[in-house]
Amino acid sequence: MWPKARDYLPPLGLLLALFGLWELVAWRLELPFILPAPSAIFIRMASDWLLLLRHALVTLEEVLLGLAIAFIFGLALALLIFHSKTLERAIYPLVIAVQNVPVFAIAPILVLWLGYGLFSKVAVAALIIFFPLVVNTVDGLRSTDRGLVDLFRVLEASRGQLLLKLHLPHALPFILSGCKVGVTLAVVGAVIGEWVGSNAGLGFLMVQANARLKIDLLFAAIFWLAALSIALFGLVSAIERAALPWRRVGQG
Amino acid sequence: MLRLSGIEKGILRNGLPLKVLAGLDLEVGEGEFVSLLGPSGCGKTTLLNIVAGLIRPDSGRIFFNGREVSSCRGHVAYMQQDDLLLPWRTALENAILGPELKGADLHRARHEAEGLFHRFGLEGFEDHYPAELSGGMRQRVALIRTLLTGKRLFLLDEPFGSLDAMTRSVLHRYLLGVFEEFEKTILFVTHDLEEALLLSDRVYLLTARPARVKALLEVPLPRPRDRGEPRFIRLERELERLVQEELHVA
Ligand SMILES: Nc1ncnc2c1ncn2[C@@H]1O[C@H](COP(=O)(O)OP(=O)(O)OP(=O)(O)O)[C@@H](O)[C@H]1O
Ligand SMILES: [Mg+2]
Repeated sequence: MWPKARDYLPPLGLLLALFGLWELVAWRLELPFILPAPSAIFIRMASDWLLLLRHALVTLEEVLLGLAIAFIFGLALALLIFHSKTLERAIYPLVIAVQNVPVFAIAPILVLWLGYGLFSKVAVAALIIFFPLVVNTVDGLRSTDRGLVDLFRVLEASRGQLLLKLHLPHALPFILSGCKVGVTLAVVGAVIGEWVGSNAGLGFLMVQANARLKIDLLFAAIFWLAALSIALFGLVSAIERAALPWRRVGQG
Repeated sequence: MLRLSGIEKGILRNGLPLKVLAGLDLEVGEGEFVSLLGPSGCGKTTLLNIVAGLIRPDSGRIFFNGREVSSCRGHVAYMQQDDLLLPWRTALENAILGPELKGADLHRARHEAEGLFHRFGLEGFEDHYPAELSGGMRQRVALIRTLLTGKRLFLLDEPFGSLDAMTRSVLHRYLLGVFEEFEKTILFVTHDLEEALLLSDRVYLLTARPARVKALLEVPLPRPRDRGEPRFIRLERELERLVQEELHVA
């Protein structure tokens, strides 16, 4: 269930080795404004922990709100597409096309329209999660085994039962893997939104630190960002494990 | 109990019309165990799908207890060729799908299912997921699910086709036990000649595609049957001869 020591020790060791190497290089180069030593970054993380935490929470809020909004609307749209042939023919090709448009590119427009506050970043995050989620969910709903549908028909299941007890449970792994992919991309999206224009968040902090040549703080923010992404990915994975106990069996 | 008359069905395969059923007549009486024996691909599953109301015949009529039921559903329990268990449900949750969809008392359904799990040698596997079960166990769960629908008429499509001989004969015993105790009527599809003779009161032998009834054989032997018994062997030879004849024609 949880990765065993054997699984996480090697990457951890490698990471430590890389940090050690980095530390040596940084000491040799003595260029703190270009490459601060990891020790300096960690000292910064300790001394400015409250500042970093405050901005990280803003970014986290943006991503989580974006995820929630994308989840609700994405699921709703996927169900509509699944249920209506007309909608499917009209909307689905567009969804697939738009899925390939880099939402990052429209971040400036969203900031222009929705302002420097929270909403523009929530919108970027939500849009990034939305499209892969819709596509994944529709794929999941559609791929239900024909024989299982027949089984439900013979048992005279209602349309609601067919959806709730067959199509949705079948699509759940697809939905969750859509969220998993989406959530880490959404962190990047929120940060880009913050770069374009904002007054809080890790992206904002990075821009500020950069302008003031506080490079150690810039790196500290990047470390937080990485941690945030990994934590969110881990969270969705944990939800996945809890929601799909049957997927764990038969695979050892 | 069930009567089919003149069932015809054609399908399109790769854009070409293909006749699958060519005017099939058959009858299953109340409390009878009737087998449909036919070569692979002759249209047995198609026929059961029609009886279950999943697809419409091109022509022909279906009567259930004297009432015409062409293309309606809900009068039969249908155990399809694959076990079709829901992978996200435990064995027990799978078994009670029928009562659950009908909105019946779940507590009672669970209780009944537990009894059947016990009886079918599945004790202790109630909370296992299908992926953890062997093929034979999965078939038994599917059979219990079919039983719990509470229907009188069972359509069983090669339920034991993929099992080894030993598991299969155990399941034969379970099925016959259920058939007698719960007074079911069974229409059983198989392409295994011996299986048909071991289980059924009557055997319809179908021709190769397009399927028609080639012969009807009565099996007036008491159950449980003994493969080595002379009368059994005589019937087996006769059926074998008819099958060979059909294979030569096709
Ligand atoms: N959905 C389909 N698409 C194309 N061909 C089909 C389809 N369903 C059935 N067929 C064809 O119709 C014929 C009859 O199929 P059916 O499944 O009824 O045969 P069967 O007797 O049940 O075979 P088996 O013993 O292999 O289960 C086969 O030749 C098959 O190729
Ligand atoms: Mg078949």
